[in-house]
Amino acid sequence: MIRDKIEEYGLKQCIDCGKCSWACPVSHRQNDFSPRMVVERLLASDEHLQSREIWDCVTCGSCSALCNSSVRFHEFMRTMRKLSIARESPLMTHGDIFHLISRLSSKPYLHPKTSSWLASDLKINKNSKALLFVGCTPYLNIIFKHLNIDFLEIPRAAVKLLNAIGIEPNILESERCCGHDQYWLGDDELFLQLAELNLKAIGLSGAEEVIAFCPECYSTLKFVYPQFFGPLDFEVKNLTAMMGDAVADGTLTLEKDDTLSTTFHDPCRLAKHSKIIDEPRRILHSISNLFEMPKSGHTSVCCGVACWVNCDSWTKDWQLERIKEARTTGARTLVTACPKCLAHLSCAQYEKNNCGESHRFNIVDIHVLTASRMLFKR
Amino acid sequence: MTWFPRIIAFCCNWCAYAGADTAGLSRFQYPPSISILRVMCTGRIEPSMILKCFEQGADGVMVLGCHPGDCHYISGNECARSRIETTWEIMEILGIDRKRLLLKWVSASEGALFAETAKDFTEVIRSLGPLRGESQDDQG
Ligand code: SF4
Ligand code: SF4
Ligand code: FES
Repeated sequence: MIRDKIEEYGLKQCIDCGKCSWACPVSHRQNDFSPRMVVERLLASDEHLQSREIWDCVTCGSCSALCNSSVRFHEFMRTMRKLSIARESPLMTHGDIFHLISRLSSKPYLHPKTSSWLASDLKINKNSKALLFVGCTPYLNIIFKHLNIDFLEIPRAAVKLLNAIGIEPNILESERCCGHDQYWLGDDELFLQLAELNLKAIGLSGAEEVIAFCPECYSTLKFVYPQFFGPLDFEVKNLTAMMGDAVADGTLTLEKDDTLSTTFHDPCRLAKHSKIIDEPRRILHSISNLFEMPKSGHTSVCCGVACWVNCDSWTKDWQLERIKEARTTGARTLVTACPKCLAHLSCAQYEKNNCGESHRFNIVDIHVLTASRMLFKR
Repeated sequence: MTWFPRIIAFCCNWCAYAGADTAGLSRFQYPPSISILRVMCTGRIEPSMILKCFEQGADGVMVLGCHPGDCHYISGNECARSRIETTWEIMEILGIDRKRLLLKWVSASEGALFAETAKDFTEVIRSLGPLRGESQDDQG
């Protein structure tokens, strides 16, 4: 079984160059972890499927992004989780609440409503062919209340931006979790339940395009759903990319603030999984002075936690290091395009501050920032 | 098969659980729909534990602890209050009626109050019906 998967994900083409270990944020912290080491141990004995290592990887895809031999290690890792999930479950953060929310949102008898944040100045159209997929941001707003971030500003900004380019989106009456975490945790059963319910609801809405501001929702709908269900009846678009294009063709006019200096933290699902790298930069160039971190684009590092698994002192270290990297560029604001990156990086700062050290660095969401720099055409 | 509500009652060791004991000792009757889970303090209860009850088929959840100021660990029940509020907010998005989660203070001597709370809450859940909707037939 493991050998088949090694074949399937191209691991046999490995030329042992070591780029993946260089790129892997986990290898930098744990001496006994590297993508190749994991494979070697799995080959030696399938008992290794029960080891902690299966859950140490954050499936960021940094390894695969740099590999010249097209090894898809992060996908291989997901498959290994699929094999191991029945034997040992990983250490879930926040008392496993996010997983439970996903589970409950997969129940056909419940009808989760993720649009309570709508305000009267946001234009929504029930007959629209464009659908905004909200994702789990409203839950983040509750669970990360202590961080004092208004996460709901993100979907609001999303609607504002869409309105600005002439789109009045529809929002599902009842929307389920996209299933991203379940897919990457190897829990295909729950993933499929969620995906089926979402696809049914999207189908009924008559949407021709589904727009997601969250890179995880986007990459899941765009790349993972078709893997299981074949070609979709609608197009999947990422809001950041759409706005980047709108800036390029002049549909969206933004006002530059010369006092604003930014640096961009690429979310893994956006840069490495979806190859959306230039668009956010185009936006940031047009509203601010953009400084690049040494690790950016397809060599950027993960925000530390994926799928709400394994958050520990290593993770915190790695997140604070990332914030330090942002600070060193000279920028005063760290911009990201993923609500989860925003939560994770802000959480690291929050905890550090609670330990009496002042580490406050401005971290914001790109959509919120962009919406605040819009010029209204008369 | 007629449907009977399934209710989980988290009771803190020092007040509510003792209150349930008092109810039993004083022979106060309360419906068998209540399954008690003893925790040391309501401050132990996380939103995920409550969501897990719903996920596993509970129709209602009660969190019963010491009166404000009486918590054995001083402020555990204050933590509980804010966590229950968080849970209510999450339930609201998920589409689970917030009435299905009750937070109440019951002291060790309030056996009658425990029995009454159990009765009233069972009635509330009964009127809301099963969480899984009407179609469910596997409920005992
Ligand atoms: S980068 Fe690719 S070829 Fe190089 S060691 Fe890693 S898996 Fe092998
Ligand atoms: S996916 Fe990321 S964390 Fe996992 S092995 Fe590759 S680089 Fe390391
Ligand atoms: S011990 Fe009863 S609520 Fe804390």
